[in-house]
Amino acid sequence: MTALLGDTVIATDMPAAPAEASVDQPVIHFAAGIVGFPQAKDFVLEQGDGGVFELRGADAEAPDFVVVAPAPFFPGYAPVIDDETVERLELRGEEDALVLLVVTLADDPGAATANTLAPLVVNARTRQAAQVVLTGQSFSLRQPLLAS
Amino acid sequence: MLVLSRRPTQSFVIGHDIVVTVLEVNGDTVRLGIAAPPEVTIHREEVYKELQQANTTAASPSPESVAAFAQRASRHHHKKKKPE
Repeated sequence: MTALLGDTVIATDMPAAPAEASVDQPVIHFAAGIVGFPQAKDFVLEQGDGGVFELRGADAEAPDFVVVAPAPFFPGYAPVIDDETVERLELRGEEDALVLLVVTLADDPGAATANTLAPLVVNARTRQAAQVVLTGQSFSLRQPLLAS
Repeated sequence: MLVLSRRPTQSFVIGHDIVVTVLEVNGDTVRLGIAAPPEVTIHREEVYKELQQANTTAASPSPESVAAFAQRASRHHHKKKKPE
């Protein structure tokens, strides 16, 4: 339920930021784009049902993603965000960082997976974001979400 | 492909603001330091390709599959809360 931000522990279950985001629908900016979609930089975060969010590409050609907050699915998830990222996103502390996981859906909804290796880190204050690869930590590109 | 020879501590510049420095050569391993502007991301190539594949697979799911997943996810949360 927490992430390490440099030496700072940050909470990954921050309902305030996405709830607020769904009201005025601010644009989240990925300055470096998203791997696979280098041109897609602006997205709107919309809150859906069941703690599931949709990250909608602001341009017509941009992709949409289903994303989730880690906490309800992976209570022990504690990624360490590297200093380069902290600096790049101008994260001042735990209250700035919102962590979201990209979900890959399957024909069977129960077989959905989340990318815990490369979470989306959003600066809730500035709306700057990046997909961060967590090197040296044992996470997965395809972690089953709804293991029952 | 451009090929350059460099010794440890020597660098080369890509464009105007990316500097790659050879830090150490040890057997078959070369350690490099890379200084680049914030909008330039740096990945190991094999990681980049795997992430590209994962993101492409995840992109733009059908509204039906999103709805089915959201429903299943809310049942999942509900089930988890029962034992408390």
